Amino acid sequence: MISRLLCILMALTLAGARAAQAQAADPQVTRLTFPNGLRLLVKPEPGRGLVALTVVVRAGALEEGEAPGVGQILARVLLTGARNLSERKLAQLVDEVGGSFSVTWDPDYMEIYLSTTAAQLKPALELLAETLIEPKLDAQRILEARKQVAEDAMEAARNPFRAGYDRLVSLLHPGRPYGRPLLADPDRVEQITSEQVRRFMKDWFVPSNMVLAVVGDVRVEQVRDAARLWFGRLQPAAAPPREVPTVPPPPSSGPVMVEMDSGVTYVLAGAPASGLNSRRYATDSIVAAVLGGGKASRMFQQIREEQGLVYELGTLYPPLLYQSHVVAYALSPAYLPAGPRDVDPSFEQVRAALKASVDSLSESPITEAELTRAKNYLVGTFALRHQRLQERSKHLAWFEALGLGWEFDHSFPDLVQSVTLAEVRERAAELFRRSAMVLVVPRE
Amino acid sequence: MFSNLLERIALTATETKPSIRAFRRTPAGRARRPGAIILAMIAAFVARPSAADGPACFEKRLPNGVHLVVYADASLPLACVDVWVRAGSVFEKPGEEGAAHFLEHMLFKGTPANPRGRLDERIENLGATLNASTSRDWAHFHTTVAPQHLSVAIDLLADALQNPLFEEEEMERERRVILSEIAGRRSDPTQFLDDELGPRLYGSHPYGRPVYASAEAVSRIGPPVLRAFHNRNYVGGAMTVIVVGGVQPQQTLSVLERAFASVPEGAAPDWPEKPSPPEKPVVVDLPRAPDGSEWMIVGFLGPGMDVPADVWAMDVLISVLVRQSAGRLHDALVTQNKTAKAIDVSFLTQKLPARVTFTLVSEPGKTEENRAEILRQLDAVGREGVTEAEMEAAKRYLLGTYAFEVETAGGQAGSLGFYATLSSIRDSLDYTSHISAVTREDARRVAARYLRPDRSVTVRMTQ
Repeated sequence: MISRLLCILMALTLAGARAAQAQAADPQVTRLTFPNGLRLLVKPEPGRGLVALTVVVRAGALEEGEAPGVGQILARVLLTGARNLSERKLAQLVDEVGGSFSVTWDPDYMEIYLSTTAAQLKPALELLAETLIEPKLDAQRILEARKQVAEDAMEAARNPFRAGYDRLVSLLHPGRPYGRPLLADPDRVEQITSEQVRRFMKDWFVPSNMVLAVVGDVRVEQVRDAARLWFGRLQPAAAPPREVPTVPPPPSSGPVMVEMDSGVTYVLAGAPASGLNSRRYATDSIVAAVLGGGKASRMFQQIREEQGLVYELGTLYPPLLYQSHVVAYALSPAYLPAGPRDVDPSFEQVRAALKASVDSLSESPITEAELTRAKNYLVGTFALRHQRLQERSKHLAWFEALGLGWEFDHSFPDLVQSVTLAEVRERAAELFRRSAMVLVVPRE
Repeated sequence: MFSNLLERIALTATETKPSIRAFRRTPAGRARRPGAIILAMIAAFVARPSAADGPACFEKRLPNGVHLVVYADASLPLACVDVWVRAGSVFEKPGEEGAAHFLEHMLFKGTPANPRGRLDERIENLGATLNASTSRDWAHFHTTVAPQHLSVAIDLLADALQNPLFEEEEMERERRVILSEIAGRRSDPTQFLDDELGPRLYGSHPYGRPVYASAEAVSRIGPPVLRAFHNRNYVGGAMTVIVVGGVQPQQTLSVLERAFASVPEGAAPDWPEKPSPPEKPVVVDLPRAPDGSEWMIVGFLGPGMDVPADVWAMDVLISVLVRQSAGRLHDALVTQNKTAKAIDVSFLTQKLPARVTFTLVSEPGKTEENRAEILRQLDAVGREGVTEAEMEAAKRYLLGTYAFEVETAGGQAGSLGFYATLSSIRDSLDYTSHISAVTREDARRVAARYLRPDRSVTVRMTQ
């Protein structure tokens, strides 16, 4: 214990005791930058006695380089405790502080999240810092994590929607990090070494590449002092330069068929779309919402309400930083051990209906009413995604870490409202011009 | 247990998300991303403190019987209106099987004032979506909006519930959607097993059939059946309207009163007879899932809200047995024996005895071994009880889960409406006290009474 305290005191001396406070556009959020480069965002929300803490490290698919899957292995390892914290002890600690703890890997970043009661802020910060600063990176633990990631990836490959989605994304981002399977390629995961995992951690888990956001029943000074105590130990270092992915070539293949041992048929059509860092992101979000966001969208009205063809359908528009994609999907169940197979719509009907909806974007200009509805729907659902402390802390840390600034969380609704009818019509007309289609069908 | 089980067990008419959780739609580009890998460890909360000037709850009963509840909480940025109707599938008469769920679909298909499409357009112009689900005891309809849009949302929801059109052409189209929904449900091993378990556990009791009934039943339902079901069950005495958010209570009650005053007067339907547990163990073998994995469900008849003390004890007990990556059964089968890949537990509280189920995916050839181990462990709990440490961990987990459930306006409204429909809103407001009061002996007692190996029903997909 003495040596540990000594380490902390030394680290504090090295890091300096003062954190620079930056100007904040919203007085509710305070941004502090520690001398070692770590950014801290604090949003006090008094009243409920709860607190959410999120660390976002910009270490995703782009940073994995030639070792895709290494980030996921590290995420697994982080969950199993730190050098001075066994997995069981970590579980007990989380239990004792009364919260939840999770690690999420994403193509753009890794997120470590912890929620607890406000009274347990200090032990929660200690737990987070221990996990991030001194993870247990021994070969055995990495090997076990690698095995688990490979198993997860194989399990995901058996999931019809995920398999179809992965195939589609590989067509939309060929040879790019964003085009890799979301849960990694099991064969490539098996080749990742312990050294690569340690190197990934060493390179990217540096304070200048991290953001800690704390939202809840806390005071700024209280969080600042506790965070300084535990995160000030991180030595300052610069992350390596990251390669921004080049714009992928237009997908050119016809529909791709994926056969699965599954009971469902999925039709997925996708097209490249703007990334979060593009000023057209809000425009593309509106086009995606007109097509398949909500029950007043074209897909829902045309495919489900007017034709009664399928139950599950919609659009996906993942918020990737540099380049993203809009995916329109429809599910048509086919595995019916005791079900109404004869009354199900044919696969061809669903495919044709989905294609017609997608084509309507370029054939039938978006109306003023559709634009208004889509804008309100986007802004409203954006607010719905901020109802929980966890969501609010995550958004702040996420936007800040990706270089958009936490202020993006506040400005996005205004960005949406500022898009004009001419802009959405222009994007709607061209969005699916370069598209790909994947059909997931049950194996004969 | 009121919980996110609602989402999984109840049938929803309005959700359009894919069945894979990680691939939820991200219309605003802000939700958890497709493919994000979430490695959750554990969740628990000691208690949920409240501010001195915290939430306040107001109730009013209209002359037609409609129960109004306003839960004013200034800390909530959004407001939710949630209408609960005691109109689940258990109230279907012979020939009406599947009507409760079909009706839920048709209630969003338009009214004279808001024809099809117009209702969705208007609600989405408020930045919201309409959602609904049906279970055995109830159906509920809800939306969450910015507080300034609340009165419009209340009016739209009230109109949809009171003035449905039941147009034949619309019904035909929606029938296909429902059949697609049923097919999708039956292609999911978890839901398929739950549906197959029902009649083996409950016999001919209406709790035993799936909420959607069957494809054949759905194919037979016409407008007269839906109208009859609607006229009989969507009456004042069966309806509770909840509003939660940073709202002005009296003003909100006035808006609700105006919107729901014209609901027909009438008493809620009577609950059916109490079901009886099977007299001997049942084991049923069915074909494997298409991917070859071995699934199994082991079910029991648990307590109902006619014996609330046993419900609270069962809520704690199932958290002792399985909770996320922990619990006695999880530790035994997944962590130590490594004979199961995953195990889940389910107990959605009902008015009358509800099913307690353990669903698992076994390692190849280990299904029977797992079944025997589950029954052995449950028998041991019934005889020897659980430890104090297990009780404390389970309670922390359960209370933590509940704290997160009611963190949002929708979650709080759901809890209030759920218990208002089955017993009283007091059971929602006092839920943490109920759980805290459960003793080790309570947990042992409900294990011995309800989770008896000689009254178990097992359905396996191993052939």
